[in-house]
Amino acid sequence: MAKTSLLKRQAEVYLRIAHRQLGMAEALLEKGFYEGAIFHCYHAFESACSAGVANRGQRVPLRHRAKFNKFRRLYPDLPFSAEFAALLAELYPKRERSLYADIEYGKIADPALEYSRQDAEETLARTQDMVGQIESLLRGHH
Amino acid sequence: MKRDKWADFKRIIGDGDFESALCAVDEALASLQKKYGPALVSVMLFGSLARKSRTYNDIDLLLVTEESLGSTHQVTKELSQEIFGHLFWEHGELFSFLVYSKAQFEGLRGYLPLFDEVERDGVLLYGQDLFAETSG
Repeated sequence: MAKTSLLKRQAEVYLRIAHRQLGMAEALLEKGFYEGAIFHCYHAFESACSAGVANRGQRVPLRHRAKFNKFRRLYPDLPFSAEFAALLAELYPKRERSLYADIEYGKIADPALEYSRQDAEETLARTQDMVGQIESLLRGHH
Repeated sequence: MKRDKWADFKRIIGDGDFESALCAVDEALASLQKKYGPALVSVMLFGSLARKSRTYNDIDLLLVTEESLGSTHQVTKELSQEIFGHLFWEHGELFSFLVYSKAQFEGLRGYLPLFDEVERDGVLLYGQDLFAETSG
């Protein structure tokens, strides 16, 4: 199979992974695991970026920073670049905070208490929208 | 131990591999000063970039303000939308940041391992070196 065709198929699989990650986020949100929902939002976003890179016939970098940068370079005129960059800048530190019990503000930051249902719902809605926009872009609907 | 200040750090590290990171930090500093004004007490760079590692993943900042700025969720969202998102798109650099009020910082010194790292490797970007002021 030609390399380009293989990478196009990889892009489709990454889009499916992005949607499954969103599904996991939804399921965790419903169960009250808000930090888990946010964790999976980050990975849905990351998988959609992987799809974007593979869709352009490029190898997907393993390291996240390199992956996001490759996406940025491949889509310099992204019509929703401001929303994309703001969501990434927000999800990136939030993912870490969903995993670790750092000490701050004079108390231990318990990931279980870090995010409210409203925070998780809002983050999920914005991530769903972003994954949808990236998918539309890859399917040529933008 | 003499702490690197930002201008010295930039001179030592040069451009090359770190050019985009240095530009992103300069812009972040200008934006933070504009946003918070005199309420911004100190900004320090720490983590792998402060240790001059060419394989740094993100840019870690410690911000100390006069008063608490609110919940971490609020601050993260606000700074991402107003400052750090734009810097990613412009320079390809991701930021992680911690924000404390001066009182919170003083209260946590001595038992937060992360502060030991900042004290050891941190680069003073702006304002007061709170570690120098409170040590000894």
